[in-house]
Amino acid sequence: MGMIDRLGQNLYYLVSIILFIIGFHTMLTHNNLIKKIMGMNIMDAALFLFFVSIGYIQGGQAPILTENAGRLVNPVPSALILTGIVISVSFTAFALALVVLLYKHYGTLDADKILALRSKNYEQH
Amino acid sequence: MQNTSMVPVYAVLIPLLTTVVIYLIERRSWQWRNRLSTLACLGSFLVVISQYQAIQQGSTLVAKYPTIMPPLGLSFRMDSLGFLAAAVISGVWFLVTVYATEYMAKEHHKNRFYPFLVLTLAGAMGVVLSGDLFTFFLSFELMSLSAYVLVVHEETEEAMKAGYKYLILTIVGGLALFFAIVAVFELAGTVAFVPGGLIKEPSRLALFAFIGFFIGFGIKAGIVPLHVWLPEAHPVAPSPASALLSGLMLKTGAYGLLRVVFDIFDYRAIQAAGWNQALLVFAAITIIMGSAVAITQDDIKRRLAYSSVGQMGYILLGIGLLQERALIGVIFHIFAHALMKSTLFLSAGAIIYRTGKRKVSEWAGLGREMPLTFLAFTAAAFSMIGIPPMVGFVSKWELGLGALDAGNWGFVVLLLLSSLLNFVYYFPAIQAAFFGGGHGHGEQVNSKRDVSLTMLWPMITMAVMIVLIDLWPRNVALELAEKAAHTFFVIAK
Amino acid sequence: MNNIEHYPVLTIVVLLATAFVVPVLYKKQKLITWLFLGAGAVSFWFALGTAARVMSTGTFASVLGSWPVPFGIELQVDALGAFTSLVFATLALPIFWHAAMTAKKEVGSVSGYFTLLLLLTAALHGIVLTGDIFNMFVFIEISSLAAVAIIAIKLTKESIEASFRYLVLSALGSGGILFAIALIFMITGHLNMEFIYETLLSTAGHYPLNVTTAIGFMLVGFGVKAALFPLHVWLPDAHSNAPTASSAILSGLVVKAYIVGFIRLVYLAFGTEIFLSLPLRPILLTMATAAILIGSLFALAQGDLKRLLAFSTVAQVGYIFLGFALFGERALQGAFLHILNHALMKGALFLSAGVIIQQTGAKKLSQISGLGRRLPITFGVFTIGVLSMIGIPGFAGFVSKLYLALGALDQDLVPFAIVILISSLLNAVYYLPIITNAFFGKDTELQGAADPPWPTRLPMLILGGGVVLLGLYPALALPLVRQAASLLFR
Repeated sequence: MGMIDRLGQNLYYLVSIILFIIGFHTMLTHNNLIKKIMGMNIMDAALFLFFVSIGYIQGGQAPILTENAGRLVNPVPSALILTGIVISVSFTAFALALVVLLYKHYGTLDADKILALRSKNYEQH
Repeated sequence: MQNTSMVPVYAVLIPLLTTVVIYLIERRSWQWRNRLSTLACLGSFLVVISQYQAIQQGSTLVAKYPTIMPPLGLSFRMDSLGFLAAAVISGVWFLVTVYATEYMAKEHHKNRFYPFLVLTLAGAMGVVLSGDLFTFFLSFELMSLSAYVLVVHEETEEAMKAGYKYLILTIVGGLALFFAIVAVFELAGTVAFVPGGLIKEPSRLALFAFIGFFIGFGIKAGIVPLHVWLPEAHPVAPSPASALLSGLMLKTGAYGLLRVVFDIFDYRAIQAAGWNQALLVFAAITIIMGSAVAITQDDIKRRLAYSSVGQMGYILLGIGLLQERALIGVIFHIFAHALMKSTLFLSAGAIIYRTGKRKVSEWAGLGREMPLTFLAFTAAAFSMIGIPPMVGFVSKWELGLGALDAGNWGFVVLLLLSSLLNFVYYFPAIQAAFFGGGHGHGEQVNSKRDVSLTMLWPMITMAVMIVLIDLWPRNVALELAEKAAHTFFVIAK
Repeated sequence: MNNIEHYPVLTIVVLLATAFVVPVLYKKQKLITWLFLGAGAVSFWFALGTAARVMSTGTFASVLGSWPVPFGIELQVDALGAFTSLVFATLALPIFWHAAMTAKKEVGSVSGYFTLLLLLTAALHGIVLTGDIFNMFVFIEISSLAAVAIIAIKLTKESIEASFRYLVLSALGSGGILFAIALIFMITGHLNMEFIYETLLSTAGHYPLNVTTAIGFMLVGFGVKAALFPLHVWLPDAHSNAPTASSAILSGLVVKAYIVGFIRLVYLAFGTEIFLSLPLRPILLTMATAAILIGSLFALAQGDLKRLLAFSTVAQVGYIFLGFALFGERALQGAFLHILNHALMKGALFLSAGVIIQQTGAKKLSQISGLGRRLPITFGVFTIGVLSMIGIPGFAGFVSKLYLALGALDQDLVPFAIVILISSLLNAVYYLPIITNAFFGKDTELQGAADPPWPTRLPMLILGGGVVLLGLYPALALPLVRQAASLLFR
């Protein structure tokens, strides 16, 4: 009973950690460069969820000061995560640009194949 | 009695600054390059011996610069040991440089040789005139690294290989010293040379430091089994550089060991811990190994290099005995061996320069062609063997007496045995040169072709000193050695 | 001068503002070059003022905007931050200069390159000066992105591939750091380091798991970015395939910023008590030792000049972490001093290596034979860098090694002093043959090569001169370093 309760209370944390692991796993194990970038995004999303849920209170209101202000959601995490999202977007955009260039040079998106092509290149030099 | 004096600093700065000047002008005038190189050595020598009076009266000249490179700081110091070593180093360096101006005339890359020759002198002078371990270390590395350029001067494959070995072992030695110095600083809070020593108690860290010092100085001094670089590096260098490497730079290792045993450690602590026993064992191995292998070498420069290994064994032996009379022998031997080995290398160089014959077996009859060169060679060789009244005899005599004082007959036998081995590898060469070979070739006998005077007079000067110093009414070098040894033992008590 | 408390902010703002102006004026080559160099010089001036202030009055805070802490953001300027910031500003000058001289030949877009370098430097200053952890995170992200971009801007296959790998790992590291920040925010509710510290004093005991996890993620995050072994895998490719100025700045400055960022978090936010109560010291000591030894061993096996330098950086990062993990006064002084010294010598090495490659085309060690005679000045600078790396007295590297070794003996940890010796020997084994080969080896076919013209020579000569100057007068840096080391023992 207590266990379930605790799980319920920490649902956001739990989900974010599962997401984090999925993202992390994708990033490290997949050879496809696009999938790596997707993994990166999933991981970032997990972190944002985690961060925002720290400030979230069940039934809390948006932190706009009105006359009958009740329990307010902590606005700081949300504000921070806005910055985080911007950063994540720029990382993704830059990474995708690099992928385009890589595809132009190597004609593949497979990290292993690129590595093989590159080391072949090294030997030729 | 300590006097603040800039003299030790000048003795180091003169060659150091001249190096820069030589580098700047050498492309315009090779005459001035040569002149300045010799003048720098002479200047350094004169500055040192100008202090003879002060040293005789027992004063120590000190200059301290703690603000440069803290926390260790630079300092210079000249006592009777430092004076003797500095005088012999700069003096012999001067003679060798004069010799080199002729010897190197036909060689390549002279514009690289001379600046580094003088720079190495600056390092060597810094070593013997340093007032603390750190200044010592700084100069030691300067000397060792710039000497690398002299070793690989020929740029042949053989020279590069020998040079690589030299370089790596120099670095290893430098790192061992670095560790030892750090350990001393950790233990004592200072690294200054203090008569009576800083470390009075043996401890684990002190033992590590001692081992570090032994490796560092042992590599430089060519103690077996750390000598591996020596018989390769000394022969491949041009002969003047070999003379300096073998005659002088080896001694800086011995000098460092002396300073460490008496001015960094309390020698009684070493005695109590029994660390000097290890020195004696290594010394015995070094003496036998060096002399025995020298016999098997046909290349004269390799033979001389191995002979140097054996001679460094004497010095290590004397230090290991921790006994005043043996120490006199050690200090005098540093002086004597510098003269003898430089003369040997210079005359061997002259022979190679004239005839191209590096092998002793080809020397038959050469003595009649180059009589003066061979006379110098003979004087130095006899001195090495230990024939009285030459300088080599004096140091062996003192060492032998020291061994007896310490109650150790074994070492006296060792000294005699090694003298016998010396005889075996020097005498046949001389005999063959003067009396062997082609009596039939009349024209060879008549064409007396000694090298020119520029090359001749430096070796003759040293040969004369080898013969005369102990015949002179006052043996100045021996007096200084006695004084230095006395200081080490008296102040400690 | 009562506006001196804004100097640290201005150090960053000048660089940032110029970074936005440069791309706008991209058509006016000359103007942007001068703007670029001018911004470096002005920020140097401000960093100098900051350092002087810290030396005279100690740590001071500089509030941004008009919001008071803990709501607003403040810069917490202490001796370590001011010292590192000054190191960055000083080193940036010759490197910027070199970049301005060589950018046209090496990179795709000159104005873009200048912008990225300015952004990167601004972010590095931010990392070491800020007093707010989320602000630090933002600066870390800016610097990561800019660092990746200054590699890719070379637009060769290898550099793009290397920078992509760097990007992915760097993003992982950022994730770790952000997660750690979230965990800290969870238990303290603060982002200002001082407030975190105070809150943690009372609450850390209640949430041991949070604190441990946070520090663990921090370590991994910063470890990836600072290339602490075994998280260094991205570094050799990235540093060796970048344009020369980028390699110098990446090896000399960028990795240091992350190390300092981590150290600042440890003592400013967590407090050294928490750090010491966790088994982090042995972990860091092991990683640092492995970095030093294995980095050097890998360097030994390299045949490519710049890759060799990059692997040597892995080892040198180990030195700094070793000094930090030994956690004694003198060891820390050694570590901080090594931040400066390594930046100087690796800068000199990378710049001279870049000039060698540019003038002769020789990238492999085997092609260098005899080149020292053709490029005596360039190889002279390289030699200074090498001697300093080995730890020959009279050069800067010796001083930091001395302090590190003393620090190891202070803790009675003789083996770590021996690790330093072994790595110095390995340095000698892989660096010295390059020099002896260059000066004494046989001539190759690269006959026409010569030293570059003076404007390109000067930056590396300045760095080489700095190595010698700090080797002979370490007193120039020591007061600030001492002050920085004492911060960790408050």
